Amino acid sequence: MDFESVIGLEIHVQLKTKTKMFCACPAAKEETPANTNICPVCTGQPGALPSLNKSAVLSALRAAAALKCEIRKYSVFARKNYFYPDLPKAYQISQYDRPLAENGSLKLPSGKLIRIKRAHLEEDAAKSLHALGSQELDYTLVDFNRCGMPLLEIVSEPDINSSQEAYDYLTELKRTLRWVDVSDCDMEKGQLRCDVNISLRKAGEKTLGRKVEIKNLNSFKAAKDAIESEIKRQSGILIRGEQIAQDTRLWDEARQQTVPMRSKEMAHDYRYFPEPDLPPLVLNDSEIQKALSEAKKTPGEVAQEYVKNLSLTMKEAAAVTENRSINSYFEKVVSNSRDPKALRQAVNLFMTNLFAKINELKIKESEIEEKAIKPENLFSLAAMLADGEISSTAAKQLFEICWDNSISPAQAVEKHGLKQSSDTEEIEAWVREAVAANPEAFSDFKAGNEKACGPIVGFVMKKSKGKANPRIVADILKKI
Amino acid sequence: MEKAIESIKAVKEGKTTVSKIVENFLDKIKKEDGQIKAFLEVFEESAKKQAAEIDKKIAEGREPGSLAGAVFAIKDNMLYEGHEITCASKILKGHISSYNSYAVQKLLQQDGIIIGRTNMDEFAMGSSCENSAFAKTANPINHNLVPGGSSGGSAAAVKAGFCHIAYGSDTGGSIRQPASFCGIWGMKPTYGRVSRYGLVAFASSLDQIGPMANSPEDLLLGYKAVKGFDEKDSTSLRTQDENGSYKGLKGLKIALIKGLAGQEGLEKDLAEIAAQLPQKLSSIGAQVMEIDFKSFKYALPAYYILASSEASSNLARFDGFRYGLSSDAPDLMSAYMKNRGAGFGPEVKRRILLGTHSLSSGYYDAYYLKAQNARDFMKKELEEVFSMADIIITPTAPTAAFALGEKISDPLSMYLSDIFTIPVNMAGICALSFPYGQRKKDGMPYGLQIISARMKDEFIIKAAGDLSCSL
Repeated sequence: MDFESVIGLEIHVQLKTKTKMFCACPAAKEETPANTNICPVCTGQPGALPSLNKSAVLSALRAAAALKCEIRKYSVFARKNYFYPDLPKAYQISQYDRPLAENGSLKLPSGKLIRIKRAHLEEDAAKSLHALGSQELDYTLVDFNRCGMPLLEIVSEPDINSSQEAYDYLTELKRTLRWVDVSDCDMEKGQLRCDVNISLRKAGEKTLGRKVEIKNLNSFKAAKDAIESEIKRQSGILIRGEQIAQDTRLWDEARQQTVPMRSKEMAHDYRYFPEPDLPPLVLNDSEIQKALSEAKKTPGEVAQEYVKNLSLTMKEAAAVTENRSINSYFEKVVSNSRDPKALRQAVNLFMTNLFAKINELKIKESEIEEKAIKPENLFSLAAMLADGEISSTAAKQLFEICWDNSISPAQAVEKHGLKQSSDTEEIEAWVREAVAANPEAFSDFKAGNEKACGPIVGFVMKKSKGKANPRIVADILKKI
Repeated sequence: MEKAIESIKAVKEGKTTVSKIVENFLDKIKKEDGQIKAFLEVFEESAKKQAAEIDKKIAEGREPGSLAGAVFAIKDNMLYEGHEITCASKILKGHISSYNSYAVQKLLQQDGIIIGRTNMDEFAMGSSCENSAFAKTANPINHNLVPGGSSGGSAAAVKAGFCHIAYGSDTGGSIRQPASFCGIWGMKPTYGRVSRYGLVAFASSLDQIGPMANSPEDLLLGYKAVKGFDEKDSTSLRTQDENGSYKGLKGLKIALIKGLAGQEGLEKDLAEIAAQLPQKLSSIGAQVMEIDFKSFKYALPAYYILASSEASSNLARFDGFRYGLSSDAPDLMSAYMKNRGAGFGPEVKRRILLGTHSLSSGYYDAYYLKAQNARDFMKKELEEVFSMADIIITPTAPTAAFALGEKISDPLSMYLSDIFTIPVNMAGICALSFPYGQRKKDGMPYGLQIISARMKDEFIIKAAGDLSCSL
């Protein structure tokens, strides 16, 4: 029996803001000691009231625009009521029937469109730290530093049909949200959290099967593994002719399988109602327009343009749209000329030399402009390569010499004598010397074995210190 | 007794000191509050210290704050840093405020003295002050009667002369009804006029802090001292009061609600007073009109659904984990049940249950949503009235003060006490109560309620001041 898996993802993204969502506490840093970054508002003291952090709203707006959502000019905060020690007010301020954004979409690199059902603002809960001791020492500590941090919940439609698609969706979502500077989306730091909804149905069927929710996914890979394991589990049940129980399960990383969550923890009636302490969130046109212009193109769209207009491969296009900093650097490089040959050389330098250097020196994305070779210098290297003024070996040397921008590529070429020689007489002298030194290779070459010229060319390059233009070397070899 | 404005003047002129004024009030409280029990705690030490500091300031020739010489009491649901706050509930007993409420902050900044925290119905739920977990406050006029509620302690403190001005909070009538029962002035400002930051919430969309005093002059002073925009309360208003629009009683357009005299539960003497009003008002040159108030009958049921719904959520934070009553329990669920079971009184529990039910899935549309619609309708209807009339006059409560214990076991008849005051909270507009007329058998005061549109707060104080002299 063939099954189709129907998957939807619920993502919580921590927004990158200076302060928390409803109070003036600084947005918590990882290393802050427990319960030091708190105030009456975020610990739910009697009498404390929330006041909305506008920059969280603007951040969410950019995300909504990047995810092609319809933005609601009039959205409403709501209280989600439930009792738990990590929720100091015993309700979470969230959005319910009138969320900030709805009906968006995200395009995967494969071209498939995943619809976004809604995106809404809410506050984070505190962090529970369960002590694992004997029965007598069984206790839980609560750290409120995280409590009240701004979150954006992004809910996809069940348009995802495989674990790989889920993985691609997560990757593309992360790239997009980083692109519009909404969040760093570091899962290890809890900046992105993911819940999976999954059901199976017989291939071709229209009705949805019973839905299972999977929580406790700590990485994109865990999400992928959990989905694969859950597909196996559910199809096993269906093949046996049994029914799937609608429940919430946890991913057990060590055992590589989903395990049921205690039902007591999920029997909630959240009793949503409009938050009376906050007026409806009313956005003006200029705020919406600004967000739309800031999120005009997603990295995916920019990459598509590079493939189409600059003849980049998908892999290259993805690399130079990985984040805003690298992309703005790339844009500066290619803005120097639209000559396709020079452009191609520039992309080659980018993909090999530049990324290698960035990795080697562990340069952060925000420091690229400041610490790397200037874009115009990188481009002039590419242009010289394209014009045959320098060899690729020389380009590699020059890249290192010019990295710290203390000397321009033109000056460096002069100073180190790296200009490629196209002087046929000089080259012919080198070639003849090389042929004399490698008679066997030469006769093989003349007999039709093109590859046999290797040692000869190598000899010429060594003799000329890399300056001999390889094209002219080849021409002379054929001639003599 | 001296008014606050007179004491402030006397201090300014050097005729007395703030310390002397405070001593006088403390003496009176010591002598008489054992009988009345207006206060849950008298802040003797901090009040004296505050007074000494202000006097020192004056002695050194520095300018004191504009309230120097005025003495205030606060309801026990307003936070005063370093002082205990309980909301008259066992669940908060011993809790020390970690910050100042906006209103308290404003009083302190202007050198107002805060002399103590007053008794109330637990979490402001009640109309007689009998729902306090700690004390039963007596009506200073007749100790066998209730002072009204929920701000009963504040009303009694003002009436008994324990302070110049007391603050209460009014969610459905909790300032105006006790003001009426104790024969003083009490005002519920326009929603958003006084910041709710640091007021322990009962029903967020209805709660409002307001002043209680013995005269319209002090009522105005008490109102102006705490009003203003506060960025920490997102429902706080930036707009200014409508000043200067009051032109005297002559030609004042006054609306009276048709058929109100026949309202069930209205005391006979009060019905007679109400019946005479049109003629009396006309005789002083006011323009009287009778209006239909169709949504009036929905006010009480809609209010009890909305206020209880919000309360069920607002009071959920009292779990004993971070502050308040806390006891050992074997697991999480037992901890919630034990702490909240022991901490809340019966009326609070009743309303939490009512509110939780109204918000439950499957009931939300039938209760909460319907009540919200009734509220919107009421708001619109009142807006229409104020497009024609300047003010509405009604009795504040259907009766004068009732006896201690008389209604405590009959919540529905207790709820009826707020039938005239609730629509004002539902519409977010302003109203005050001033003493007018008496019950013949025992001379207990009645109150008249003056209602007007949003931001007409000072307008109604001026109008009521004139009415109380002319009627």
